Amino acid sequence: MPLILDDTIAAIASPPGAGARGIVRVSGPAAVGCALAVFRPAQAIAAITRPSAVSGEFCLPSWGAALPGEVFVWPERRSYTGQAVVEMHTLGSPPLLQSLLHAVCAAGARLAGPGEFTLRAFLTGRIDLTQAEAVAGVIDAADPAQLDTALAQLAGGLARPLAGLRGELLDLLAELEAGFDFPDEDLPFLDRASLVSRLAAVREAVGRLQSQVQSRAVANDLFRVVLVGSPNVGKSSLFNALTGARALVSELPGTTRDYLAARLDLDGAACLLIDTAGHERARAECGSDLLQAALAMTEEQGHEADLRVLCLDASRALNAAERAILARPDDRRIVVLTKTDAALAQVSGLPEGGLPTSSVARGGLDALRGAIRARLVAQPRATAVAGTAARCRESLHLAGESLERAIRLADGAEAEELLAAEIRAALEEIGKVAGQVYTEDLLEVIFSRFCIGK
Amino acid sequence: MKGMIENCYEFDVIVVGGGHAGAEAAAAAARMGARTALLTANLDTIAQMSCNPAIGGIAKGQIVREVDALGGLMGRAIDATGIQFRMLNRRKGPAMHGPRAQADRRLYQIEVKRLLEDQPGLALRQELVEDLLTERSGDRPRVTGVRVRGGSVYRAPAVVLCAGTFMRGLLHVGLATFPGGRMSEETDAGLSLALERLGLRLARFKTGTPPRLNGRTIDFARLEFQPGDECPQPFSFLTERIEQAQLPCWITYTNAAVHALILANLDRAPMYTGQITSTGPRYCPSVETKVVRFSEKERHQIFLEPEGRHTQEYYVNGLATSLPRDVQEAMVREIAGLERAEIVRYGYAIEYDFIPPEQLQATLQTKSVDGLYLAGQVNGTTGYEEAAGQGLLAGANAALALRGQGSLVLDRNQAYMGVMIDDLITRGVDEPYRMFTSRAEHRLALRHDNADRRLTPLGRAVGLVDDVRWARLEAKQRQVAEAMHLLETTRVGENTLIKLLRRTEVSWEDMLRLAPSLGSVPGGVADQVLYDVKYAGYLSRQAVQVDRHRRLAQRRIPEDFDFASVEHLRAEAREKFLRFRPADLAQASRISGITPADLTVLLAKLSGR
Repeated sequence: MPLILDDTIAAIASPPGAGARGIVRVSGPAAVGCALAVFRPAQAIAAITRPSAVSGEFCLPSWGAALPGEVFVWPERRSYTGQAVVEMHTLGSPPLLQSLLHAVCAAGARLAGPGEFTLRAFLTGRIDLTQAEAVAGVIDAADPAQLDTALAQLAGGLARPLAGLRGELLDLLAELEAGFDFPDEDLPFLDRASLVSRLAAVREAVGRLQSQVQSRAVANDLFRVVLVGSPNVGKSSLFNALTGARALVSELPGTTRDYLAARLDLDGAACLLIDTAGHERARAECGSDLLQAALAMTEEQGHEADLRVLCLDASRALNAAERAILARPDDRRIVVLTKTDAALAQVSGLPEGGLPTSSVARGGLDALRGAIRARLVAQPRATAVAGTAARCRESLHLAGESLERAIRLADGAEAEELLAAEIRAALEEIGKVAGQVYTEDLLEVIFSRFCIGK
Repeated sequence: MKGMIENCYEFDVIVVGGGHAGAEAAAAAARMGARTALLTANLDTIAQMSCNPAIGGIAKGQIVREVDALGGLMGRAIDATGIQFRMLNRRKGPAMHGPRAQADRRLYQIEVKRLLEDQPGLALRQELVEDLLTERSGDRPRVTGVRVRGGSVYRAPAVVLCAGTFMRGLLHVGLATFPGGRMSEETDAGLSLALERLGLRLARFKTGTPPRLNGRTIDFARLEFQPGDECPQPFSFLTERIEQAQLPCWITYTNAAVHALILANLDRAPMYTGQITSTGPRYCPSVETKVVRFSEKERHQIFLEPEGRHTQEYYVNGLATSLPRDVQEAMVREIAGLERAEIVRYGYAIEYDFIPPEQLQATLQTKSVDGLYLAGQVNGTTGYEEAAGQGLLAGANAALALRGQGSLVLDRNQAYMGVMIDDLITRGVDEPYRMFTSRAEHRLALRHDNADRRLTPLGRAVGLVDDVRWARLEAKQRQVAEAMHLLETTRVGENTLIKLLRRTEVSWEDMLRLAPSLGSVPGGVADQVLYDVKYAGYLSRQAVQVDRHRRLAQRRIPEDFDFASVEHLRAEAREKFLRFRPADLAQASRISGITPADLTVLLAKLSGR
């Protein structure tokens, strides 16, 4: 992932998940060209010299019909990044935005890394030092450990199967490379048939990962709302009351985590509501004391969430763990009082501003939905995961293409150095997710496998 | 006489050491017009091949061609003195071809010495260098010359140190150890001490050689025969053809008896008794290491390489060892064809000082001492070719610096030499560094056959390349361009010829049938055109990558940049940056373990915020 500052980058700039409006942002010298490729009337954009907006239609071959929308254009030096910037506004459907983004990339942009727009703005002096935290945020988001976490959550451990494929490709490459660099050694010979079948197996695995990422991307693009709180405060009842009988309650696909998630529609916006009750049940079996409860809550707090709904039992006083959590400021938290129907008397010490609810009497649920929706709209979701997902898809796609070419070359008895070039290209793409391969890794495999040297 | 100056000589560039690095360094500096002195402890061991008597090979052959393309000596010397020429990897594509030749060890030395004697502006002196002379210039030392045994002084603003394995060299034969730079050659600790005094960090590597045999006592009838190529191809772009007769090499194998003998004597093997602790090359292991590490292998290949036309000495490639003499003798006699063979020189191992190369700039000048350049095995590399490449570039850069005319730094996509130096300075070395094609990510572009087209223009621009070589390249370039034009403009039905030629199944012979005028294109030029066309798709895909790196490389990092002061940098990244001190963002991105996030942080700081 080389850091380049003067090419054209693109990303979905609207909050993930279905919303009324979706935005694809493009920055760089080819930004206007990208818009020309997907927008009609094109001539209206081509002539722009000042920041302006144009209404029209987005036309992509893969779409049956044209979609209405607007294009906002900021010519060079008048924009946030200091480069030509184009924003494409249209319907907020994730699959549509993905294909729009894809078309923009085909027209000369590449997918932006996390925070890359901010970085460009920073480096061209559009943001001053007081906003340096934004850059620190960029740095944090690009930290490989965080990306790993994000990836693991995103795809139920995509990094691990990819690391396995990386290992297999490295082995195949080592066989070829040993043949190039040590032709005088009597090395075992890898026949084309087994080369083809091993490459085909990797290609197939990459394909499986591609569809896995694809199918999970939608669920994971949603704003994540997690119900947190001590055991038995009524989280599960609240979950059921909010999602209702119509909600499809199932385990999150592809994970073995013991929690429930359901899509919650909120007046045109949507989020993923997550209940960690299963976790709690497992914990209860090994004895539930205050320490256990506190641990459970801390763990949930750490859970990747865009918003935490902290449930407090209105029928009893707060416990120590709850008081500790409330004492910590958290701007991604809504406090909810549960079981207000059962509260016989006013219990002292409950926080002011907690939303009173009753799952039994179905009281306060609309107010809670409204509060979640307000947060969802006001607080754009951190895009690290979504951005990573998109780049992951692109890398898998490019790796798959290289592998297909490699298979054709191996099948057609073509020159091995070209075959090696394709395997190297595939490894480089996979390396963007699973870790780069250095020459030293390759030599390590060669020297550990073969007795080389005279 | 200590402290008294006997005599003082003035030069522009002093080269210490007359091996493969030193010879090229001295010749390059002198070609560029610098008044140059080459100081060597023994004029009769100039360009000595301490290991096997062969030049080139996979990736190494490409380097020889590159050295030649820049006007170097190695290609011309081996063409004149080779006794067997083979193009390796012929069955693979052109980028994988590697020329190699067996050399007549003595004739090769004499030829290189003759070329050096012939070089105007170059003084050859037999001197043993004992100390480096420096002065303070600002806050850092700068080199002013060297002192030689006897107290005489050579003064120069640039010194290229090419001391090979001579810095605190320690030889091992069995349990016996003795100091020396090669067997029976004197060494001096002065240079190591001088470098340490100047603040450079030194480390130790190990390498080894096999025994050599008297050919009269070898039973060749029992060996496999390996002839040279029927049409030997020259290394130098100036050599028309190789005309001398070729000698064969011979192949035999170790066996269970040899392995048993080695295993029974491991308690007397310095590699296993703890007597040798430093790291040796994995790709050039001693026979004891091979037997121990790959115990499942029933036999290991052994090449018997003739040492020359006028001697019967044979080099036993594959049997490098530091086992005691009696084990070496017994081991040799267990091998088919060598039952009665007599050893004329015993194998030995050598440990020596090197200077971890992350202490160098891309010009091969040390980062901490102005005017001090290092080239060859002192930088932790192995191989005559690797040494020659570094020597040439160090000599050229020393001369350029004196003229105040910038530097000659090759990119990874321009030359194997560029890959090598970049690897050395940005990755450091964990074992003696040898070139492999695997190291060169742009190897499809770095073919041996196009080294002149890649590098001769660069050499011409700095004064390394003479008129004869330049005229040759110009003629070749013109012919390539004409042939390309013909391919691009001749149509067959829908397609141009060049479009047809891109298809894998279409050959140059097909082209000749379709456009008979191509018949006048010389063979070498036709190859260039054919390879360029066949690889074009891959080369253009790689060009995108090259372009990205080029742009990153434009973000220079000031020499005095304070990496320690960069906030938010991960501890590992800070440590790596401090150790390697990258000169630009592209180099920073290639350091192993550096992430894009680290670069972001670095860039933010560099942008002055």
